[in-house]
Amino acid sequence: MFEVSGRAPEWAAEIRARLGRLRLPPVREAEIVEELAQHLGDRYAELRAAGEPPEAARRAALAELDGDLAEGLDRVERPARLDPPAPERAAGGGILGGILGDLGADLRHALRALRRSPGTTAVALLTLALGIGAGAVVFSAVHAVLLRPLPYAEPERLVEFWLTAPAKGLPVVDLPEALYVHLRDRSRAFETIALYIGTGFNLAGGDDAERLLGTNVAGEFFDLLGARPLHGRTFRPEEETPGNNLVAILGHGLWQRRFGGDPAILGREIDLDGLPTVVVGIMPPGFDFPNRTELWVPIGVDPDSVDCWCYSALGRLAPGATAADAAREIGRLAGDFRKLREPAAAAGEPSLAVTVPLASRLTGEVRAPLLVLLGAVGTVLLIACANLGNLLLARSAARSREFAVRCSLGAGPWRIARRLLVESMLLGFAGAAAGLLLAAWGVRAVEPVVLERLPHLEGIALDRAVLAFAIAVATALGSGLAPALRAARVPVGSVLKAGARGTASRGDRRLAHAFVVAQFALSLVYA
Amino acid sequence: MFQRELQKGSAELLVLSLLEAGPRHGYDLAKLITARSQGALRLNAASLYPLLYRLERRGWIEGRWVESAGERRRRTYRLTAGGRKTLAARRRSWDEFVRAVNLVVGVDHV
Repeated sequence: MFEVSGRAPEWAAEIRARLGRLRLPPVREAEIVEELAQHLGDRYAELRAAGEPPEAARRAALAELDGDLAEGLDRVERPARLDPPAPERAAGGGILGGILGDLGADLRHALRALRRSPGTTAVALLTLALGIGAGAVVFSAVHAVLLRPLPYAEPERLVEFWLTAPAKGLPVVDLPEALYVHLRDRSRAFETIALYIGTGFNLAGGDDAERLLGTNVAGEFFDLLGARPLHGRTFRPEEETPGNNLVAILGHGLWQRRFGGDPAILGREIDLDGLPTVVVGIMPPGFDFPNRTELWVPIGVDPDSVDCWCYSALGRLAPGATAADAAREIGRLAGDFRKLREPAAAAGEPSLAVTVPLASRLTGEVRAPLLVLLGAVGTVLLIACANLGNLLLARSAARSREFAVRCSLGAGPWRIARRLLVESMLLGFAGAAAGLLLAAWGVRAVEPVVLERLPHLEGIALDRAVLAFAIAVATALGSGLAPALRAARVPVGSVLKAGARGTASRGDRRLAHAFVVAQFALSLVYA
Repeated sequence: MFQRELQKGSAELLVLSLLEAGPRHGYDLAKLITARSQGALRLNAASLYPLLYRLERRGWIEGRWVESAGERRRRTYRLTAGGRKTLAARRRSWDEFVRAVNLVVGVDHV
């Protein structure tokens, strides 16, 4: 029955030619080709046996492949394509194109859904904008004050120190000049020590005199803080002796305001407190240590003077030394100093010293209030989230019929949850944008208040776009996830049977109650 | 003849019905359809095999390569339990459909 001769047509090639564009897995393709070739071979053999001439039989056999074989196989062999392909996929964007295309559809859907309920959308946006705006302002302040390192070199090694005599009721005792010299020459825990004291200066000259905030300094004050002059130089050791200290360094603000930013002021004399004082340096903008200082003048140190226990001390820890090491050493050296000065008092109470990291001393006053504020806005944001979640939940309950219909039309739970997530994400981003506008205004309002207490700050910048983004996403996820998950578990049958109205299931109500309880609990924080 | 009607799903019913009697390979099925319909229905290979693969994917039929001495191996299809159930349901609804159409069209002798 079979015509097994060399003249038997080669079916496989014909079949492959018609499968070419399918790109089936090779093994599967070979199997299909084998089966179809047999079919064609059988047909050919049958026709030949019935007396058909070879060419006519061949044509008739090949007619078995007429119609769209490839399309028919394509539909069967790729179960993923059983559904009519989405237009985005047909455009050939691959997996990524598919996701983006779906996302575009979800976005359009979300916009439509949000427009359909303008009231809910407006309330949600306002809630988010206020929550995120407040959060961004306070976080910016916290970032500027507590998190950003001091604008000085190696701030973690900078400490302030003073003596303490609790038995005498004196928690803070500053240093006299003689003790400073004693410590400067002996300390090992400190790499370098500096002394300073705030002073007012009268700057005369021209038509008007001006009262300036100045600071008298000794030791390697500027080096210790890692501050380099913009022009000129810092003070030399010989300039911190009485009579040689008629030199001054100008702050950048004063230089600009009073001398028009002219570098020619270097080397010239100005009238400070009636004394001709030579300007030797100008500091860069932003440096005003310790406190809005506009002018620095050396202390004329008297190495024997203990008249004024009034100088603040600053030190840079030696490599490897800790603040505690330094405190012990200063206490010991101060004890030696006292024995030298008043041998009779040698048996008295031991001398004690306290060291405090410069950063924490500078932020100490505002640290606690800022953290409290941060906690507060965090709570406000949580309340906003809960509010929004409740709002979306109520809406998703009202829309449960829509979801049920979508489900029964073949939309998977993930698909519906994703729609809802895209909606709340959209809300989150819009809310964050509005919140950032509010925050930009809020930072300007808050900045002067903070700067008054934190003079070392250059300013608060609202550069926390990333934070806002994170808040937006977290908010969207936090508030959208719960309704989305609920929607994904919609019992289709019961919802459709429940009639034309959307209904809140018991689970919805429980979730809503949870949101309310959470809000109430969070609000109590403010009571 | 009737190619378009066959495309629309009744071809599944034909194949399932033919396999009810016992396992067959593709070429046999094609010949049987033509023979039993007295030449009115024809499924060529381009229509038949995608259909067989679809039924197989749905678990209604099962194809197996069978070797017999002196012949090339052939792929033979048999009805599964699920296919049997589907066939029963399809038959019922086909009967109902035909009766309904006949009622409308007015074939008296049904």
